Amino acid sequence: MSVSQSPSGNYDAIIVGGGPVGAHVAKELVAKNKRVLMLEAGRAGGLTYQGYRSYVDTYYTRVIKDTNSPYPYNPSAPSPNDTDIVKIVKGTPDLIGYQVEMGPEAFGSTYLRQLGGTSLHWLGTTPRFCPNDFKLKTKYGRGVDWPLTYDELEPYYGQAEWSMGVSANKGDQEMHGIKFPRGYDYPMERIPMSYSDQVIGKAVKGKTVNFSGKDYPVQVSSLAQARNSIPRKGYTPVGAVGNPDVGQRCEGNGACIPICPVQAKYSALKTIAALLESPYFTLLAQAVVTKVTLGANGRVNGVEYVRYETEGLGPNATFTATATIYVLAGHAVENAKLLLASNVANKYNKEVGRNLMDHPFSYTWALAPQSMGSFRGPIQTSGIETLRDGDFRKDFAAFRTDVGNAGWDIVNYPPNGDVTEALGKNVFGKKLRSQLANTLPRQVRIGYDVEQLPEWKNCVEIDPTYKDALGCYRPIIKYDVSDYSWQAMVEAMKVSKVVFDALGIPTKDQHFHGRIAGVADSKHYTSPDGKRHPLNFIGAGHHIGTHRMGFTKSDSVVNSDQQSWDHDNLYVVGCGSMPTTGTANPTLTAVALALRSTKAMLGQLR
Amino acid sequence: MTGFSEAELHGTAMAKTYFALIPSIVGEALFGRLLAIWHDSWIRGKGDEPLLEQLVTDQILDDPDLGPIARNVASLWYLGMWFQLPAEWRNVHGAWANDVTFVVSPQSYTEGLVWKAIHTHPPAAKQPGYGSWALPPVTTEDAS
Amino acid sequence: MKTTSSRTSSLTPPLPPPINTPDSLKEHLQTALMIEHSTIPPYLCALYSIPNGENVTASTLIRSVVMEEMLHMVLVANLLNAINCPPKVKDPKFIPTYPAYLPHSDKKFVVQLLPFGTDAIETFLKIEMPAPLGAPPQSGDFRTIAQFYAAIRQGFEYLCAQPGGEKKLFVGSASKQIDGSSWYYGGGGAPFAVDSLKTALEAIAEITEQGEGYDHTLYDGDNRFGQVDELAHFFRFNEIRAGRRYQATDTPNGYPTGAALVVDWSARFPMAPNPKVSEYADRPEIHQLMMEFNRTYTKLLGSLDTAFNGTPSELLKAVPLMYDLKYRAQTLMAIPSGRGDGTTVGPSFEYAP
Ligand SMILES: Cc1cc2nc3c(=O)[nH]c(=O)nc-3n(C[C@H](O)[C@H](O)[C@H](O)COP(=O)(O)OP(=O)(O)OC[C@H]3O[C@@H](n4cnc5c(N)ncnc54)[C@H](O)[C@@H]3O)c2cc1C
Ligand code: SF4
Repeated sequence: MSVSQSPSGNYDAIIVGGGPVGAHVAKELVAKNKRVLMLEAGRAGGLTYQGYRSYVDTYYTRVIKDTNSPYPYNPSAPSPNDTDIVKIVKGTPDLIGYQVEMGPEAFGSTYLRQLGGTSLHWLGTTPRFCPNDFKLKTKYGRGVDWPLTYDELEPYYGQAEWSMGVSANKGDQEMHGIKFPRGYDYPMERIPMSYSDQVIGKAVKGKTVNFSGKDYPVQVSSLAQARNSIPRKGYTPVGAVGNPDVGQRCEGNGACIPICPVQAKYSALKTIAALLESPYFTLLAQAVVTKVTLGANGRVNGVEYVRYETEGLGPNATFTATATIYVLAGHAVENAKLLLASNVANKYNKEVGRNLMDHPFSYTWALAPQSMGSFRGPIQTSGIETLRDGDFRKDFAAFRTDVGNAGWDIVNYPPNGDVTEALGKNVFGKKLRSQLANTLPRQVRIGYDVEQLPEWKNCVEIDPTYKDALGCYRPIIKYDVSDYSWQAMVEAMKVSKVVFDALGIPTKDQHFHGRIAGVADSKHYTSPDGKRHPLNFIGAGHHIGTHRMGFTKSDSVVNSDQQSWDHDNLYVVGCGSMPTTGTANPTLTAVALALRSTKAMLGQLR
Repeated sequence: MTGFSEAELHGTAMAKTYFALIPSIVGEALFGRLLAIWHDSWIRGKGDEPLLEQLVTDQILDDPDLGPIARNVASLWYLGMWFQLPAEWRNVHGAWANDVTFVVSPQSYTEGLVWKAIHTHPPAAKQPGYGSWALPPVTTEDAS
Repeated sequence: MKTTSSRTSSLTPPLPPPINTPDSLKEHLQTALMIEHSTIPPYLCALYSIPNGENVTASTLIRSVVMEEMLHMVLVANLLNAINCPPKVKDPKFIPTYPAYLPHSDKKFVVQLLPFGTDAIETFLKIEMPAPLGAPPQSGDFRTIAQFYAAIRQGFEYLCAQPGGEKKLFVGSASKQIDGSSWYYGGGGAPFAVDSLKTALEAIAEITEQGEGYDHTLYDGDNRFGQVDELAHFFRFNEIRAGRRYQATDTPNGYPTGAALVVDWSARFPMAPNPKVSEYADRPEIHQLMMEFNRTYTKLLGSLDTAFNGTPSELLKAVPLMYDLKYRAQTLMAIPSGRGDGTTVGPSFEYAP
């Protein structure tokens, strides 16, 4: 039960990383009275209400309000930041910041090393994967299959949804073969769809797009979201850590990324704060795990970690901690880095760090003729989910369509630019006020989480040339996007076209990739019909792959229990274990997989 | 300058802060001149919106010394942010140590008028409450 | 054969209590609703006059009291609906004109709209004053709110003791009851449905104990309702007044002797007392902002009225209005009143449909 200084004694399990995945492994093990030590690289600042509020104040005063802006910079456990990511010029790696990027495409996703992990700044969208996502190879001849099926994972989805607190109505989610057991429903009612969702939903009713010769409906539906809403029977919403009356409902703060000020959005802090009540749980923050060590029998016999007092300054000291089983839950990139640095889990193949994927996020935007009520509510409340599966996946990637609520957010970061631009043109006073009032609420943005296939050349590597202040490896990223995904970005524009036309938006106010000044085109892609398309995408923050699960010890790093093929007391958990990306935001699935894996762990701890 | 009434400006509780801040960045002399000319335009253009606009444009916004400061005053009110003055301005008036781009304070961010102008609230502050986003937006016409 | 029981004994029956008909009970419950509401604008003025980030503990304490007052309003509405009497909220007469006495009180002190300060807290202490030990129930001209509720409790008990009384009394429609956490959230506890004497007495107990304390202790006894025990309102205000927290060994009659509670009485917007829209007739900008506040406030009362009269889900709409009210109040409180005494404008809480 403590935030310990120097843990002693033997543990049943050591968990590396206090994000949502590590927290859920801990929760299950502690529930069965197993002694768990959690080692967390970042600070535990969010465990007090005041500490968390200080993040909010920091966010207020940051000039650039990017994903990590609320959280103090930590040179002892650095994280990649949006502002460090630049377009890669051929032959010149991006060395700025923590992550080293070799290209050819910039890997535009970030994560956060701080207790709670990336769930502090995630958006909280929590759809399930479609059954066909688990058998892409069999069904469409693409990528690989998973060593487990939707049906096998289904019970753990339900458990994850109740543990994280997901708001949704079952009926909205039943599509593409996603099924729920009789009598099941989400713990809370769906988050109300925003006004603009409703307007768009009405406008596109009955409309379709044609993909690979088949019509698919363009239909707006409510997203499953891990933020508090009206509870169903048997569920009590979990409010803010240290102040449970706050955050009982999503209050529409509209800042889910990078910080929910009232903690209505799920973060791993909630799970960890509850765990701290248990005598079986020990948390050690500011402890950066640097190495997994092996005994003569090839089993893991300890983890080495560096403990720092003050960020970037020290004093630092190195320790070893031991347990029966070891669970790496430090995020896809950090897990891979740790395995590589420890030279483990590579007896049968060189898969560690390989097959790095994301959902390249492309977007389109437009100015509606009337107010859409933009800039209100959670950043997203609805999506167009109808193109997440279909026969076209033989030809190009599927995608999940985000219907945004925050105007042209990622396009040009309103409203700062709009204000300064107007002032630059001598627009001021009442004119300025009404110009802003008459344009910003009309902004619409539609984005696409595009599926990506596993490719060996896309990877996380390490190199002694690149180390951080603590002497740990900085991750080196090599990343590219294949035609399978580029083509989907081209096809996705058809969906935007349908929506924009249905809203009666004149062509001049519809914007597709790369047509706005100041936004660089990432790529000129030539589709099979010979047309050239300027395309542009950003990262979705969905790091997938790097320690994938598979059927045999030759094709993967871990088995379907996320247990290392090489070392039977080592588990590597999280989105890194997923063999393919599907189109769903991955965290719910990662948590469900982790819950499932705890059955194997408990079997070993008996 | 902002399109908001004096009462609304006072309502942000930021007036004192800004009045102390601006001269500390650009000096009393320039700030005093800006205020004097603004006051003069305001008196002369009272009740005549196009005239006032003309006066402010000619005497302030198009003035190489005062224009950039005036734009920054407006961005303080609208965004709670001070933007570093343009290079041309700094070449003439020297570089003031605290003339950097920054958000004045947590309050200045939450009190930014841009959010009022577009009938919403600053992200992460002044939360509107559960479900409010599902209702039709307030538009300028009904806001009166 | 049944024998006549001791009921026929020659003892004179006890006098019926002051509240002894359903109509009188309804009337007094409606008064209770007005009393609960009448405390909220003064509490809100004190709360909103504290700038964000200042006097954090004091404002958290006041906020928690306000949340519970809102819960009390919901519970009183449940009591009214339980006996089939529509609660009336959206009504010009529902709102006191401050400064005002508590409705039907003995008029020993006035309640005002004041900014955070010792004057305000002194008044709040008077509002939440625990009844002296053995103080009688008072159905009118009451000394303490607790005594007024004691009279209501007697009324319920008396009416239910009549043959078939409970059944005849609780005839309200269950669908009008606001319960659980579906519509109501954010602290102060969860409301529960009233449909019997037992639940009615529980509701009354919850209201009075959160105010003055449970059974002459410092605490509200909420652990009996599955919640954490908290200090009753009177003692929360006393902590602010004394600049000190209570600790376990303290008693209701003594002063708090726990940790210091730092209060900066000057960290507030100095709103002029009891503002009125009419005072700003010649200041159109301010006048308009005050009117907008009052329209929002009246809309809020409208939402509550709808929620209490058959559409509980309307409570969800009340929350955004409450936030809006807060932002508007804080804007007003930052505007100089122009009186030349350093005071600022403030919200007037007047009826404005
Ligand atoms: C902007 C953004 C938005 C997102 N939105 C969504 C969304 O809507 N839906 C969704 O499903 N997913 C979303 N994601 C992805 C989601 O945040 C991650 O999938 C999720 O947080 C992964 O959980 P995790 O526990 O595996 O890793 P993390 O949450 O990253 O936690 C890992 C933890 O391990 C610690 N750690 C790392 N290295 C070490 C070490 N060497 N020693 C000790 N501790 C270590 C870290 O400090 C951290 O606390 C988003 C991501 C981003 C960036
Ligand atoms: S909309 Fe606001 S309250 Fe809701 S989850 Fe996002 S940040 Fe939190």
